[in-house]
Amino acid sequence: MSQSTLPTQMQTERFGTIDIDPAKVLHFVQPILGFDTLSRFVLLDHEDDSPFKWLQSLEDPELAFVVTNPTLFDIDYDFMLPQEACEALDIHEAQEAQVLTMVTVPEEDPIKMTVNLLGPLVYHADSHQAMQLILDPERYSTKVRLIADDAVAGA
Amino acid sequence: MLVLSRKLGEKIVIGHEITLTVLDVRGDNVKLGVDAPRHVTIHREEVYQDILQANQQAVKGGISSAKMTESLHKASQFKQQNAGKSVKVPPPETLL
Repeated sequence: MSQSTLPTQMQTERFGTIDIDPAKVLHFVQPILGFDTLSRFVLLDHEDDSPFKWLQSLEDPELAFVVTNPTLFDIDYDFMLPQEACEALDIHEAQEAQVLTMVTVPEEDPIKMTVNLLGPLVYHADSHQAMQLILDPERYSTKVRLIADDAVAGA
Repeated sequence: MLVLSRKLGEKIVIGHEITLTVLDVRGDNVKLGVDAPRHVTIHREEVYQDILQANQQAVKGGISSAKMTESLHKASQFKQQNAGKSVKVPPPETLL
Protein backbone atom coordinates (compact mmCIF):
# COMPACT_ATOMS: atom_id res chain seq x y z
CA MET A 1 0.00 0.00 0.00
CA SER A 2 1.93 3.06 -1.15
CA GLN A 3 1.39 6.57 0.16
CA SER A 4 -0.69 7.45 -2.87
CA THR A 5 -3.11 4.60 -2.29
CA LEU A 6 -3.79 5.27 1.40
CA PRO A 7 -7.53 5.23 1.93
CA THR A 8 -9.06 8.38 3.41
CA GLN A 9 -11.50 6.38 5.49
CA MET A 10 -11.91 2.86 6.73
CA GLN A 11 -14.44 0.73 8.46
CA THR A 12 -13.10 -0.65 11.74
CA GLU A 13 -14.55 -3.07 14.23
CA ARG A 14 -13.88 -0.96 17.30
CA PHE A 15 -14.34 2.59 16.04
CA GLY A 16 -16.78 2.23 13.17
CA THR A 17 -15.84 4.43 10.23
CA ILE A 18 -12.69 6.43 10.84
CA ASP A 19 -10.97 9.17 8.85
CA ILE A 20 -7.36 8.33 8.10
CA ASP A 21 -4.95 11.20 8.60
CA PRO A 22 -1.85 10.37 6.52
CA ALA A 23 0.21 12.28 9.10
CA LYS A 24 -0.76 9.67 11.68
CA VAL A 25 0.02 6.58 9.61
CA LEU A 26 2.97 4.44 10.68
CA HIS A 27 4.71 2.19 8.18
CA PHE A 28 6.28 -0.86 9.81
CA VAL A 29 9.40 -1.62 7.79
CA GLN A 30 9.83 -4.64 10.04
CA PRO A 31 6.65 -6.23 11.30
CA ILE A 32 5.18 -6.28 14.77
CA LEU A 33 6.18 -9.77 15.96
CA GLY A 34 3.50 -12.29 15.16
CA PHE A 35 1.81 -9.95 12.66
CA ASP A 36 4.07 -10.44 9.66
CA THR A 37 1.52 -9.56 7.01
CA LEU A 38 0.60 -6.16 8.43
CA SER A 39 2.63 -3.03 7.82
CA ARG A 40 0.32 0.01 7.88
CA PHE A 41 -1.22 1.31 11.08
CA VAL A 42 -2.84 4.59 12.01
CA LEU A 43 -2.43 6.21 15.45
CA LEU A 44 -5.75 7.28 16.88
CA ASP A 45 -6.27 9.33 20.01
CA HIS A 46 -8.27 7.55 22.69
CA GLU A 47 -9.78 10.69 24.19
CA ASP A 48 -8.64 14.30 24.41
CA ASP A 49 -5.71 14.57 26.80
CA SER A 50 -5.58 10.82 27.24
CA PRO A 51 -2.16 9.20 27.70
CA PHE A 52 -3.47 6.30 25.61
CA LYS A 53 -3.66 5.93 21.86
CA TRP A 54 -4.85 3.19 19.58
CA LEU A 55 -2.71 1.68 16.88
CA GLN A 56 -5.31 0.57 14.34
CA SER A 57 -4.29 -1.72 11.48
CA LEU A 58 -5.19 -0.37 8.04
CA GLU A 59 -5.08 -3.90 6.66
CA ASP A 60 -7.08 -5.74 9.35
CA PRO A 61 -10.13 -3.78 10.51
CA GLU A 62 -10.43 -5.95 13.64
CA LEU A 63 -6.90 -5.36 14.88
CA ALA A 64 -6.00 -2.47 17.16
CA PHE A 65 -3.43 -2.20 19.95
CA VAL A 66 -3.63 0.13 22.93
CA VAL A 67 -0.35 2.01 23.23
CA THR A 68 1.10 4.56 25.58
CA ASN A 69 4.31 6.31 26.56
CA PRO A 70 5.11 4.73 29.95
CA THR A 71 6.99 7.80 31.21
CA LEU A 72 3.58 9.51 31.43
CA PHE A 73 2.90 7.18 34.36
CA ASP A 74 6.16 7.98 36.05
CA ILE A 75 7.79 4.76 34.88
CA ASP A 76 11.52 5.17 34.55
CA TYR A 77 12.20 3.98 31.02
CA ASP A 78 15.18 4.60 28.83
CA PHE A 79 17.26 2.58 26.40
CA MET A 80 19.86 2.91 23.70
CA LEU A 81 18.42 2.43 20.23
CA PRO A 82 20.05 -0.74 18.81
CA GLN A 83 22.19 -0.34 15.68
CA GLU A 84 19.77 -2.42 13.61
CA ALA A 85 16.99 0.03 14.43
CA CYS A 86 19.08 3.11 13.63
CA GLU A 87 19.85 1.49 10.30
CA ALA A 88 16.35 0.19 9.55
CA LEU A 89 14.59 3.44 10.50
CA ASP A 90 17.35 5.86 9.40
CA ILE A 91 17.44 7.44 12.86
CA HIS A 92 20.60 9.34 13.73
CA GLU A 93 19.45 11.67 16.48
CA ALA A 94 17.41 11.06 19.61
CA GLN A 95 14.75 13.62 18.69
CA GLU A 96 13.95 11.66 15.53
CA ALA A 97 12.87 8.65 17.60
CA GLN A 98 9.37 8.28 19.02
CA VAL A 99 8.48 5.44 21.38
CA LEU A 100 5.21 3.72 22.18
CA THR A 101 4.70 0.65 24.31
CA MET A 102 1.85 -1.84 24.01
CA VAL A 103 -0.67 -2.02 26.81
CA THR A 104 -2.26 -5.30 27.87
CA VAL A 105 -5.52 -4.84 29.78
CA PRO A 106 -6.55 -7.91 31.81
CA GLU A 107 -10.27 -8.52 31.54
CA GLU A 108 -10.73 -9.63 35.13
CA ASP A 109 -9.04 -6.57 36.68
CA PRO A 110 -8.38 -3.85 34.09
CA ILE A 111 -6.65 -1.44 36.48
CA LYS A 112 -3.81 -3.97 36.67
CA MET A 113 -2.94 -3.23 33.04
CA THR A 114 0.68 -3.75 32.01
CA VAL A 115 3.06 -2.34 29.43
CA ASN A 116 5.61 -4.24 27.36
CA LEU A 117 8.96 -2.57 27.96
CA LEU A 118 10.99 -5.37 26.37
CA GLY A 119 9.44 -4.89 22.93
CA PRO A 120 8.76 -1.18 22.41
CA LEU A 121 7.51 0.25 19.13
CA VAL A 122 9.80 2.91 17.72
CA TYR A 123 9.16 5.16 14.76
CA HIS A 124 10.89 8.01 12.97
CA ALA A 125 9.20 11.30 13.86
CA ASP A 126 9.28 12.51 10.23
CA SER A 127 9.20 9.50 7.93
CA HIS A 128 6.97 7.46 10.27
CA GLN A 129 8.89 4.31 9.44
CA ALA A 130 8.41 1.99 12.39
CA MET A 131 9.48 -1.30 13.93
CA GLN A 132 9.20 -3.28 17.13
CA LEU A 133 12.48 -3.54 19.03
CA ILE A 134 13.69 -6.40 21.19
CA LEU A 135 15.70 -5.04 24.10
CA ASP A 136 17.74 -6.86 26.75
CA PRO A 137 15.56 -9.37 28.66
CA GLU A 138 17.87 -9.03 31.68
CA ARG A 139 16.85 -5.40 31.99
CA TYR A 140 13.30 -5.15 30.65
CA SER A 141 10.07 -7.07 31.02
CA THR A 142 7.04 -7.61 28.81
CA LYS A 143 4.70 -7.07 31.75
CA VAL A 144 5.25 -3.98 33.83
CA ARG A 145 2.34 -2.62 35.83
CA LEU A 146 1.30 0.78 34.57
CA ILE A 147 -0.30 1.76 37.86
CA ALA A 148 1.13 0.47 41.14
CA ASP A 149 -1.14 -1.26 43.66
CA ASP A 150 -0.58 1.40 46.31
CA ALA A 151 -1.54 4.10 43.82
CA VAL A 152 -4.76 2.24 43.05
CA ALA A 153 -5.50 1.85 46.76
CA GLY A 154 -4.88 5.52 47.43
CA ALA A 155 -7.13 6.72 44.61
CA MET B 1 13.67 -27.48 8.45
CA LEU B 2 17.01 -27.89 6.73
CA VAL B 3 19.37 -29.91 8.93
CA LEU B 4 23.13 -29.56 8.50
CA SER B 5 25.94 -30.96 10.62
CA ARG B 6 28.89 -28.71 11.31
CA LYS B 7 32.14 -29.18 13.16
CA LEU B 8 33.82 -26.61 15.34
CA GLY B 9 34.93 -23.69 13.21
CA GLU B 10 32.71 -24.55 10.26
CA LYS B 11 30.11 -22.19 8.87
CA ILE B 12 26.68 -21.95 7.28
CA VAL B 13 25.71 -19.27 4.76
CA ILE B 14 22.08 -18.09 4.82
CA GLY B 15 20.88 -16.13 1.81
CA HIS B 16 23.73 -13.99 0.52
CA GLU B 17 24.48 -11.88 3.56
CA ILE B 18 24.28 -14.00 6.71
CA THR B 19 26.97 -16.38 7.94
CA LEU B 20 26.71 -18.58 11.01
CA THR B 21 29.94 -19.91 12.55
CA VAL B 22 30.27 -22.65 15.19
CA LEU B 23 32.71 -20.97 17.56
CA ASP B 24 32.81 -23.35 20.48
CA VAL B 25 31.25 -26.63 21.56
CA ARG B 26 31.32 -27.69 25.21
CA GLY B 27 29.02 -30.51 26.28
CA ASP B 28 25.53 -29.42 25.19
CA ASN B 29 26.47 -25.77 25.01
CA VAL B 30 27.18 -24.44 21.52
CA LYS B 31 28.57 -20.97 20.90
CA LEU B 32 27.47 -19.54 17.55
CA GLY B 33 28.72 -16.41 15.85
CA VAL B 34 26.47 -14.56 13.39
CA ASP B 35 27.72 -12.21 10.69
CA ALA B 36 24.85 -10.24 9.20
CA PRO B 37 24.19 -6.79 7.72
CA ARG B 38 23.47 -4.08 10.28
CA HIS B 39 19.74 -3.91 9.56
CA VAL B 40 19.19 -7.58 10.38
CA THR B 41 18.01 -8.27 13.92
CA ILE B 42 19.33 -11.34 15.73
CA HIS B 43 17.84 -12.64 18.95
CA ARG B 44 17.57 -15.71 21.15
CA GLU B 45 14.39 -17.50 20.12
CA GLU B 46 12.84 -17.58 23.58
CA VAL B 47 13.03 -13.77 23.83
CA TYR B 48 11.46 -13.46 20.39
CA GLN B 49 8.64 -15.79 21.47
CA ASP B 50 8.16 -13.88 24.70
CA ILE B 51 7.43 -10.69 22.78
CA LEU B 52 5.35 -12.42 20.14
CA GLN B 53 3.12 -13.88 22.86
CA ALA B 54 2.93 -10.57 24.68
CA ASN B 55 1.74 -8.96 21.43
CA GLN B 56 -0.94 -11.60 20.98
CA GLN B 57 -2.05 -11.20 24.60
CA ALA B 58 -2.39 -7.47 24.06
CA VAL B 59 -5.02 -7.93 21.35
CA LYS B 60 -6.77 -10.98 22.68
CA GLY B 61 -10.49 -10.41 22.81
CA GLY B 62 -12.52 -10.77 25.98
CA ILE B 63 -12.83 -7.24 27.22
CA SER B 64 -15.80 -5.39 25.77
CA SER B 65 -15.39 -2.06 23.99
CA ALA B 66 -17.34 -0.28 26.69
CA LYS B 67 -15.33 -1.81 29.51
CA MET B 68 -12.09 -1.01 27.68
CA THR B 69 -13.07 2.63 27.24
CA GLU B 70 -14.05 2.86 30.90
CA SER B 71 -10.81 1.17 32.02
CA LEU B 72 -8.59 3.46 29.97
CA HIS B 73 -10.50 6.48 31.21
CA LYS B 74 -10.02 5.39 34.81
CA ALA B 75 -6.32 4.67 34.22
CA SER B 76 -5.84 8.08 32.62
CA GLN B 77 -6.44 9.65 36.01
CA PHE B 78 -3.14 8.15 37.16
CA LYS B 79 -1.16 10.03 34.55
CA GLN B 80 1.62 11.73 36.46
CA GLN B 81 3.55 14.05 34.25
CA ASN B 82 4.59 15.07 30.80
CA ALA B 83 6.42 12.51 28.70
CA GLY B 84 10.11 11.97 29.33
CA LYS B 85 12.60 11.04 26.64
CA SER B 86 13.15 7.30 26.51
CA VAL B 87 15.38 6.80 23.52
CA LYS B 88 19.08 7.46 23.28
CA VAL B 89 20.89 7.06 20.00
CA PRO B 90 24.46 5.73 19.72
CA PRO B 91 26.93 8.47 18.75
CA PRO B 92 27.75 8.64 15.01
CA GLU B 93 31.30 7.28 15.37
CA THR B 94 29.89 3.91 16.35
CA LEU B 95 27.58 3.70 13.35
CA LEU B 96 30.30 2.87 10.85
